[in-house]
Amino acid sequence: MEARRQELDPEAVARGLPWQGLATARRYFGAGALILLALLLPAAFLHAPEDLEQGPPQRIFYVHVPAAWIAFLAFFVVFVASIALLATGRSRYDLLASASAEVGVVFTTGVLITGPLWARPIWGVWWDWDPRLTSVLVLWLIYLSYLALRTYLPDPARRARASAVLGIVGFLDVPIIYFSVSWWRALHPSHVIIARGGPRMPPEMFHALLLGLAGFTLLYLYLLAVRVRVGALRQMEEVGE
Amino acid sequence: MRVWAYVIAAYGGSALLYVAYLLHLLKQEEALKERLEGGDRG
Repeated sequence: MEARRQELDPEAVARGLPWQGLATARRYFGAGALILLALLLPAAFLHAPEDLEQGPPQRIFYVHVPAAWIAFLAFFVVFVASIALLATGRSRYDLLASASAEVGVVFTTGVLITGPLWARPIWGVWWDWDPRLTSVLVLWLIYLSYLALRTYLPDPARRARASAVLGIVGFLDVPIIYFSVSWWRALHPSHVIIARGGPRMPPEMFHALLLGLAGFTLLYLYLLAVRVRVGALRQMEEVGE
Repeated sequence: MRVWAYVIAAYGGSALLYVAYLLHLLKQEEALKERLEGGDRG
């Protein structure tokens, strides 16, 4: 039992993870995120010009798009960690996958909050069953189910395997979301960032977007590091019970 | 003027969401640490 406790020591778990140093770099991620997100405000409201067609609501773009990209990154981490868990059976990958899934759900919630607030003044409706919007809602529901599944399975090994399968299958929705605007005609705008001939926007708008992406990436890494630590402490408590 | 309300709600709502989640995690971390330390002492 003592050996298992030592194996699950949060610092040991963090040291043994494939992304060494995440736990110690936590404070730098937090400080970096705070600085970049504070700089995002003048970049989005002063540096970036007002969109001629949409006016002020277009500025929601700088928090909406980074949240969506980070949600995809978080679920990609779940996908990779789930494959690693099934291949090796090591609990540290379950710790990483479950932490990233929870943080990903929070960022997807951010997308689902900012999207309707942008849609209402531009489209005249809060929501439309457009392929992009619907597939994002499905993604949110898939990973909510992932988190719910984990609470219903008390056996750690079974919980890790079952959620890894869902984490892998659930990720299939991400390419569907990405290509939905090309595959189907819809209300949601098509690709404006990764487009032929470069981003379809003025450089000042692109700068603000890059700042948002960098700030949200650091925020994701910070929340992930804190969530991994909480997960490791929970595992220790489970072992101690 | 009304259109700015949507922008403020989007930025304010996002900030509230991420800060609330962070506080929830930090509170959980503190509670778990206390319980584990209490368990070790016991």
